[in-house]
Amino acid sequence: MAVFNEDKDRKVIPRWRRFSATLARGELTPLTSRVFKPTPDLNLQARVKDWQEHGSLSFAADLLSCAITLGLENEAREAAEYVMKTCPSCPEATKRLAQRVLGLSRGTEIAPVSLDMLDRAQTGKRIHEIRQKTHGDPRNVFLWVDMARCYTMLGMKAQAVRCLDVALRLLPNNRFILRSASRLYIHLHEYDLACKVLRASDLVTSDPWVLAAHIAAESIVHKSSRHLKKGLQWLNSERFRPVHLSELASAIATLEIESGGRWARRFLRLSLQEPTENAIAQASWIVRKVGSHILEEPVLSADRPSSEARAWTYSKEGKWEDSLKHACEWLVDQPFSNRPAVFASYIAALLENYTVSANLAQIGRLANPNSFALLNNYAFAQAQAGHLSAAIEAYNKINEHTLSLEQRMVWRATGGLLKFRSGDASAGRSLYLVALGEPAEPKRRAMAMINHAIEESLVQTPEAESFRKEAIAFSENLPDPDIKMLVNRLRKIEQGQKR
Amino acid sequence: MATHAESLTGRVLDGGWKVLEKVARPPTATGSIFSHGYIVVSPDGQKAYLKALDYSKAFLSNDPPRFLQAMTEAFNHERDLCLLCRDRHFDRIVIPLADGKILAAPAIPDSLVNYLIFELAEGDVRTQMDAADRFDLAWALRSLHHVSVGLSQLHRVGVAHQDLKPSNVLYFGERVFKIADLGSASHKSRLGPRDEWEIAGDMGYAPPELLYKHIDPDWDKRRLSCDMYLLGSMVVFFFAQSGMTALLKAHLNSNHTWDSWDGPYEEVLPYVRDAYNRALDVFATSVPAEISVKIKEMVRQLCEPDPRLRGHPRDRIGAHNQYSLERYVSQFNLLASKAEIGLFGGNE
Repeated sequence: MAVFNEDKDRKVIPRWRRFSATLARGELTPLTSRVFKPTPDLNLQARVKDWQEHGSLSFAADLLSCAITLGLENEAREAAEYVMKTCPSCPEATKRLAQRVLGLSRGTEIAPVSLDMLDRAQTGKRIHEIRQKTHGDPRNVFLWVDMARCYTMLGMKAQAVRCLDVALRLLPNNRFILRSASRLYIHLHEYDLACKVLRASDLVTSDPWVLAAHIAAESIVHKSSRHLKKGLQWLNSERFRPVHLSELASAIATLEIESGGRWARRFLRLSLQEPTENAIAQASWIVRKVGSHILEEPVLSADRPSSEARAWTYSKEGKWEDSLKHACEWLVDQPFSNRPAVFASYIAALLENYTVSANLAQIGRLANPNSFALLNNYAFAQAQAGHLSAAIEAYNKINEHTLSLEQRMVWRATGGLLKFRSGDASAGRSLYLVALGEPAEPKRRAMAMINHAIEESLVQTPEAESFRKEAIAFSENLPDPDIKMLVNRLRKIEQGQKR
Repeated sequence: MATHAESLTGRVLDGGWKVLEKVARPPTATGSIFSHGYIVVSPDGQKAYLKALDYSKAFLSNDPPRFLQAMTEAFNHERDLCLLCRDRHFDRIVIPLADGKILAAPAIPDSLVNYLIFELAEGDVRTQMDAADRFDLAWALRSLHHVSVGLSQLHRVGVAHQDLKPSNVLYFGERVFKIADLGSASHKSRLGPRDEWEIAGDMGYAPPELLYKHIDPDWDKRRLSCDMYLLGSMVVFFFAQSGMTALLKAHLNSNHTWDSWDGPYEEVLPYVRDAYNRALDVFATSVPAEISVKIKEMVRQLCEPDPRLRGHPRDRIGAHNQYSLERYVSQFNLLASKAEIGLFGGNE
């Protein structure tokens, strides 16, 4: 049986995206900024005159350069139009300046990422490209962080830590680097290091983004950040814009929920004033956990995108295709993370799209090669897709001694599936029955019973009917939409066999 | 009503120079906004460019005496630097052929107009670029060689130009380029009129550290590194027809540009560096493949956003002069020579 994500706990751990993507999302906006007041410039006026007099590419380029630098782009509109219309073969740089003046492109263009770019070969290629760039400018710290992320995606922990260490040494007080470092250490289950790297920085007492990460990291190890009071002061003051406080408010709201405090609602609202994607996902989780009464408005809307929140919401509504689509986006966003890969592979398996499920689990396995959930889901999907040897190979990599009781139950059930698919129905049945003898919550038990009944039905054993009835009787009153879907599937099999 | 500086047509100056005609904004017009240009001719028929200082603007200001003093100081400063270059026989700096003063209206004592007479150029870099029907690599590299020699000559006598830009690189025919306009220049041991300014030259081409108001008190680090950046920016203009500063800004996130940044330069520097590397990649696409790696590396060193790291890596070690341009002079000369004998395919 496939493993589904637990939705019991969630912390506002920083997202770790490529530098360019983080920048584009506005998460590296400075806490204070100046209001730009353009002032007329005599040199620019001279450039305008020169351009009007000569009307050629060089003079247009000269004017564009000056106008952009001075922030007086409007002065160069005519020159920009000239470049775009009459100089198709002009240098790329000139075109970029003209496009900028005409508002055709602003800022950095982010190359889109898709699932097929997350495999080992593509990620390796990306590492090679970044490494080449670091040869050109080893001081470009963000390249080191991006490289660490790629290594993390491939499960190369030592290399990832080394790259991030370089970045931290080059620039110890930078929001992006500190948050990325804490995320990496949390991914590696080095929680103390995650806390330490943030605690050691000066920014933890001056930057709400860093403090939010610190509060989240400390809460994983059930500690309270020593700077929590400062965070509360910031939330109660108007020192920072709401976007800077979004994750801090979200982190403190989560603490309030966990401790039964009375400020959860207020901080949750604050976290959603100018929310980050992470804060939206957290708010969505809080609503799932405590109920929608905590907020007056729905968390999700067109201007509040969060693939994680949408994947969960659609799954709760039984909209599986939509859920899978957003789960894949979530995985593309955080490809090194176990959670989106487990979630997406589970939903794909639920939709009986086993090849996709195996691929999604495989992407997650690159970064988390020993993850029980991913090995199990991969084995389950491959067995269902008829690739038994790949399934058994993955299944054999599971170290049963590290499993919790609930995981052991799932592990035995998947073992039962493999035995059935290997043609050994009695061994399969035995494993399923041992699994069902383990303690497990109703949803998990129902899922094992249904899967067992399906396998018995497929090989048309004499006991199949009784197992089906037992599974349906146990599961049909459970509220979970995924269980309802599986019960329906079992009923269809039952009807088919009766016919 | 025309000012005294605008009424020189037909006058004969010291040395027999005759003022032929006023030029609206000739290709050789340089620098100072408070001046007027004329074409003049010497007794032996040599045409030249006259730059006449216009004091009338001072009387329109709120504090005429102070403004007048500032203008006079600026003029004297530029003239002194020009004469210094002439005395040293600097061949890559536009030096005055003559200087002097004339009473524009003989009956009015305060109609005195100071002037400088310069060699007459055929045009600046921009006009020459437009005149060529295709990109000429040898021409571009030789120009850059001459510009780097010019800057190097100035640095040798403790002068930083600080306003190197396409309009200040003039063409004198037969592949000879010279740097013009010392109006913004700074002398290491003499206080200049613009030494107090945050940005002495054209803001449109200024290095990023100055735009972020990061002013290093060390003269070399501030002035020579600025020249070095401007030389790199000229390289970018020759190949990519864009100033490096504008290209850099086009790659910066709007929150991190000098228009909106409110913190210290050190904190924005990592973002500037990242944008700089992307800007360099775009620039490199415009450089012929044979020399692209070399030119990109030279620009990377010259326009390095951290002025403490600007310059050739080997010159940053030990007792070397970090902001020495000698290596670049040699490299441009070598590349230009190679291009001239056709070692780079497809170019003269």
